[in-house]
Amino acid sequence: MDCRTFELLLDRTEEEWTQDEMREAREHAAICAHCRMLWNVRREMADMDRDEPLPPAFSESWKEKIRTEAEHKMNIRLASLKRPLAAVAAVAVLVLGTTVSYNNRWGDSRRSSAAYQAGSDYDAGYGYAASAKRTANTLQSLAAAPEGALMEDSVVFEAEETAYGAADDPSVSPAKIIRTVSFTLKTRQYERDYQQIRDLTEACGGRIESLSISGDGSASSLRRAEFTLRIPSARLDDFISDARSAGNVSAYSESSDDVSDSYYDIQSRLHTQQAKLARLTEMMEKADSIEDLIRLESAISETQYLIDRYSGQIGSYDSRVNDSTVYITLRELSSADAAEVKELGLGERILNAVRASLETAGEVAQAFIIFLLSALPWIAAGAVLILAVRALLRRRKARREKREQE
Amino acid sequence: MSLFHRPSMQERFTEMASRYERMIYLLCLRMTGSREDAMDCAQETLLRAYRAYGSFHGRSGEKTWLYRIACNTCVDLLRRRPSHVSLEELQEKGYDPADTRIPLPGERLEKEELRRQILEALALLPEEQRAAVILRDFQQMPYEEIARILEISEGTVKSRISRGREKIKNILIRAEQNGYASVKEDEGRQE
Repeated sequence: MDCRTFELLLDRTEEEWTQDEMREAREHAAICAHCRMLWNVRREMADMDRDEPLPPAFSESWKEKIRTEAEHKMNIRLASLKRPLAAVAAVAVLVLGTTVSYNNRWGDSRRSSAAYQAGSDYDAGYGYAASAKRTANTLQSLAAAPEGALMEDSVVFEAEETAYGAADDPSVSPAKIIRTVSFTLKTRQYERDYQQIRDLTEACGGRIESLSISGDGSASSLRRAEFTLRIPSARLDDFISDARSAGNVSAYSESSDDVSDSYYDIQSRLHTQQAKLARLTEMMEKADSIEDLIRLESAISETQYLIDRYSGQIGSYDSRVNDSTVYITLRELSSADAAEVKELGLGERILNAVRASLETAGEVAQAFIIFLLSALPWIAAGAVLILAVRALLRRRKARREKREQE
Repeated sequence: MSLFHRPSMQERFTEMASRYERMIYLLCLRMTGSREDAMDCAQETLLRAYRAYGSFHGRSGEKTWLYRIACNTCVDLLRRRPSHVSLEELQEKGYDPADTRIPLPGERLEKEELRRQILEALALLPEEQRAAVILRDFQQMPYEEIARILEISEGTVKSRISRGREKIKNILIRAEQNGYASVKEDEGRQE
């Protein structure tokens, strides 16, 4: 074996040598000091690490450092969450406050485009049927009215009670309700809807009591029609449901006025006067003196006057009860209001929705500013408190560090 | 560890690093030549490894990965050191210039003396050769593993090892021929 071969052999560990290689290596090392030296150096290098002890403190030391590092990482992670959490909380407060402010601003009268739901009110008014209380005492109190001189004739009283007993019975007198309805319609198809209202009125057997039209249809002078209609009460509900479909209802109101008491009160008075007139006429035929004739004539004249008056009032009530009054305002829509109407095309609706969205954004911005300004005192107080707490904590930390250094 | 306990990253790393702590310490010891520096270096190695453990995907193997970090940490430390070590520093580390024994290397030297001279010669190698020689001759690692650790080719590994061994040999022989007890002293004189 030569030195070169020996050096190549040394490149492998002794465990990897064969027995022959080991023998040859020993033989060569015995005669070559240089290779012997190399072999010794290589052996010492291999053995040195085996004999070197691990310092006792080393293991615990690096594990402690890892533990400290892990705690430090956790603290950093928690600290890093503080800002995002604080930001999220701040945003949530701002959004909530703005929403509350926005809702309070608008309340129930939020949008003119919203269809006004008056169903419950309508139903309450329509379903009302108060029963008028009429008692026999009413008749007697009517009999004690201004025509006092003739009340001394007991025949008149008897005739009144006899004639009107059945008519004044509360159980058979129907309620007298005067219904009044008012609503506003907005439409892009003004002419079509205008005609539709007229046709509906005629179809229901109603009439146009008054009509007022304004505007010429230009952008600056939109058309407007104000109808006062008299619709038979029995057909009123049908008319309303049909008329509401002609455009977008932006306002609706209905009232029901129970005039039963007044009606039957006047009716009783009328009957009283009519009976009185019949009796006076009978007495006139039997009068045998000029003075009686003059007195009876005067009484008849006065009675006739009252009969006419009461009849007129009854007639007025009948008219208003039988034919309900409907006020309709038909407004032509501008393009800005067109988003409220369903019959627009998709493109127009998108454009109008964007416009409406921008308006809403403006309103929300206003609500946000209002909320911010109103919350300013609280924000200022909170900031002062936070600064005070931070200053206190910093001072404590500085004192603690100073104590540790000492 | 209970059956239902899911080990944290810290626990997993500690368990893994415990298997290699001695080898890492020895590598750092041979690279730095000082027990104090070796402790610092090894701790720094394990700390760096823990910080990077979350992104370790296991492609290179834990041992290779740890050794790589250790080599880099040692090289960083050595580069921060002054290139020449003063006699006072050597004395602080146990070197006694009064020891004038000059045995032939490999033959008459006591074991401890030979080891000391080998370590001194090792300390005179450039960091790249030193790392390769330590991994091969001290820790008996195969060439391919050394190549993975040092992130160089096997050919480069063999070249560095060959040159490093040659230099160690020459240093020891020259020191012996010149009759100096300390390799460092002799190398210092040569320079």
